[in-house]
Amino acid sequence: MSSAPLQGESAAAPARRSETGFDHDLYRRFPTHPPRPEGEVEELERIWAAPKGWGLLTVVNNNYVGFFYVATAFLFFLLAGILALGMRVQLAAPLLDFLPQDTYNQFFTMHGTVMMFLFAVPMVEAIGVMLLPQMLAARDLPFPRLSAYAFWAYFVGGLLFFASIFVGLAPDGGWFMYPPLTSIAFSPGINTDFWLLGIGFIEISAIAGAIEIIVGVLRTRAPGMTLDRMPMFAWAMLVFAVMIIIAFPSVILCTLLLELERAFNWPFFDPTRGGDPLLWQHLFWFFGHPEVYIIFLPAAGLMSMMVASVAQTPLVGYRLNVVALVATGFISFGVWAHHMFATGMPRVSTGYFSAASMAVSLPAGIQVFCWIATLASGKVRWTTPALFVVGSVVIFTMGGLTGVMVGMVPFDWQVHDSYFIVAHLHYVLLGGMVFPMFAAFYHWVGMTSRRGLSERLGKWVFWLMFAGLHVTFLPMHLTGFMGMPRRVYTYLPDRGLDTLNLLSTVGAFILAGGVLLFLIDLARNFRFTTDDDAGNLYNGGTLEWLPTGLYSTRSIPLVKSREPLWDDPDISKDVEEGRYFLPGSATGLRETLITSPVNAEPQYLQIMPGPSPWPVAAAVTTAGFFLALTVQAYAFSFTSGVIAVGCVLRWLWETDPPIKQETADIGAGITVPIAITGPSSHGWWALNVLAVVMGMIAAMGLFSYFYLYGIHPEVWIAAPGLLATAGIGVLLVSALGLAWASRRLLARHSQGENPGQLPWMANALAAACLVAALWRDVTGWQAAGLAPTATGQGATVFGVLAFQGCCVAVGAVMALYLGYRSGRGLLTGPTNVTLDVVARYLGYIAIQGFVLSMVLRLFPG
Amino acid sequence: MDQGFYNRHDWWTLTAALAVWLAHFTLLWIASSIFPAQTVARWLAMALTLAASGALGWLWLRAGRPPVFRVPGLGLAIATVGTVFNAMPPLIG
Repeated sequence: MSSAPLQGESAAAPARRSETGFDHDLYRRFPTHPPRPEGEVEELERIWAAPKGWGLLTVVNNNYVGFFYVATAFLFFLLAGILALGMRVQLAAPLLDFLPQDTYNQFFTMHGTVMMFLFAVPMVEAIGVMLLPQMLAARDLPFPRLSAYAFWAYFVGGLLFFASIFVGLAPDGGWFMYPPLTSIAFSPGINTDFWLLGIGFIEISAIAGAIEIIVGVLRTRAPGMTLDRMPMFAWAMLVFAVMIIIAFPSVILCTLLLELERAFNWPFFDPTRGGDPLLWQHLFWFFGHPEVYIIFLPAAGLMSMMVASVAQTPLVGYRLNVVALVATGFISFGVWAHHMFATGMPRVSTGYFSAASMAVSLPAGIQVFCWIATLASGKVRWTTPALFVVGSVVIFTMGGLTGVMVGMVPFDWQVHDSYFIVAHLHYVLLGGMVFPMFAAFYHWVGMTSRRGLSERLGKWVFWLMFAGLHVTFLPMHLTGFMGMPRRVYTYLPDRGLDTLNLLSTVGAFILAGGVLLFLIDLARNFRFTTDDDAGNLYNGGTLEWLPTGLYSTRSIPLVKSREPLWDDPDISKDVEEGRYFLPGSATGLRETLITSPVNAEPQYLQIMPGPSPWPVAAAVTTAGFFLALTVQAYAFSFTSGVIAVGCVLRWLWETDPPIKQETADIGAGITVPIAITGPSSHGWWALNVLAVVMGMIAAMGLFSYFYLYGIHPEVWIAAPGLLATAGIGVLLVSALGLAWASRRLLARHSQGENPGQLPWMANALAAACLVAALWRDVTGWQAAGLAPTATGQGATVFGVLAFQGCCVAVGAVMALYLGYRSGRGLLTGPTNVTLDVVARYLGYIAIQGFVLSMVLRLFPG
Repeated sequence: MDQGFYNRHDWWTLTAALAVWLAHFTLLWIASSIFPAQTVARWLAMALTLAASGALGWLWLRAGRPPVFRVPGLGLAIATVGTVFNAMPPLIG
């Protein structure tokens, strides 16, 4: 970063507590005063213009992708809600036959699955994609094509998954799919496979979105927006995305393990061959309970921002709220087994999970008290968002209290798998996510619609939903106490359950009436727009309410407080007149400013890709790959997979073009580099996040290995000899060394110089070493007499090696891709983003392979 | 510019405190799973609780004895309460 000093300013002004060496005195140059050149805005509009008509399939702007995402997630909310109404009709009176038993099983499985996997998580990611760029004043999130891929994968995969119910092939084993019920012996149809492969696929989309959000929040904030000035929603999304990359690998792993057991008879969950069905529960709930907070935290972030707007005063306890978010994220990983209190775990173990379940209520309570204090310290305007916000606090608190109750082991034993649990979880999820979502719809609709939604109808919507919720779920506490189990399609008369169930059914339709009224309001008032929006209807104080176009804000403001619009009345005008950072395009391309993770100091300019058909093509073919696997059309699946890889490579081809321009003026004479590599680059951050995801899958694989050893040590056989193990170690260390050397080889060359064949060949050799190490590992275990179908040890060892094999295969493709780019003259010194990413990936895979091989062969000894 | 915003140390203390809680929880659970219904698991739990308490106390001193309404203080308080909760099952379970 360099700058031309202004008159009267010392060029050698000290950088005060700078994170990157950036001189904070340069901030004094903003807002700038000289008039901006003509045509800057028009150029921005041209560069960021979105395609029209069918071209919208190729769009990558967050305004569109975010809107598509929200609309699709809401569609799944409606579909899952209709399933719920079907169930409630069936249960309205005893012994009804509105839904046959099999269909009812499919309904409750799909209701839970769709609500959790296709509505709740995608909805909060969607709101993030939609709001975050504007909230952070970034031009867009850093990987717009990844966002587009994540959306299309979710859209195509989700619709195909949901369509299974129309042909009677929907999963029917409950949304958590416990084996042995879902093992091939008890669920021989492909219903379960739809769930396993469909959900595994959709979770890939969620992880892609999480990577985008982490890098986006940490690296694309407006200058001056330190962590301590970030909007609460951005904090919540950061914690949410970190939780996703830690929790979701577990569900991806367990779905793959169960699918391997069903397809190839690998006995992960078969106790007769050294497996254990409880392994599934551990893996599933390690994801499943944090999932509740994954859903709740972003909604809590929205709540924190809305209570400030509702009360027209800054959030009370901003930092305490952040601490609560982070603490919830941590503690939520210590509560998974409270879903397993009835499985006969050791008594002291259940005590630990009970204690953690109590502890997690502390940070949640802190947030609730902060919201109440904010409302109490301001002047509340009883708008529709305000009603939903306050209603949400009431409902969530009620659900939280019953949560503390079921966190106690003896109480949980009494109500386990009863309607009490159904009541509890719906209070938590509706209060913790659905009501805040509706509040957010009303609050932020002005960003995407020409006019706001109706306040009059909105209040009706709220009261119908609020009343409907209590009428539906409050009686369920009693039906649960009276012994009515979950997931039963009917019940006997004269057990005292008739009236309560009828009441719940009536309540469900009142709730649905509220949602229907909301749809009517949408139809009457919502008109999507990207440039003529209704604006700041509720006087929010954060940056998303600045005037925006498809390029986000005209210039990227300098942030000096948490509510810049409240504290600086001129900021909107100055931003719109281009008086801050990046008032036009510095390169003539799509670009955004990358800032440092803590202090948000300007670091470099990222060139961003534009519209492309390849993300949607990759998503469709990836869906084809998984769908074909479900119906065992392996040739079609393989072909789809190859095409999907080709589409991804094609989309990446354009994302790292050689650029002659080395630096760019980002306003007020401040210049920054363009497209850098290494730890300061956003690509480095994304790759590290991906490494965490892969590392978590590997770690959970090792957990499975040790868990099964703990349960069935009698089936364990000795590992191959130490000499063979050492040979594998040497190969993997060589791969690591070659990947590292490739970067050094490239660094020897000057700017723009062709480095010859050595750098890419070093990576190709590294990939070859990884393949050789894997081959020796697999054949070594086979020679030792281990077979994947024989025992739990065989299944986990070969399962873990299969995962490593997938990682190695991706690495080999990346190395070949790098060679092809090198052959086309696109690999130049001294640094190159593609080579940097490939080398680091191969290096990581070498380390992962080393750890996996050594642990499996040396432990438990 | 107000420079008061920049305090990486606070956030480090918060994360470290919660990491202590998580490590304590995880090790206690592993011990109770490896030695179910055995006295050794309880003794291990006590030893680990002492170690975790020491680590949290060290963090508190290192952070300059922050009060509970500040970021590091609240983080340490939540981690401490969680750790005390964790220590209850082997004592009374």
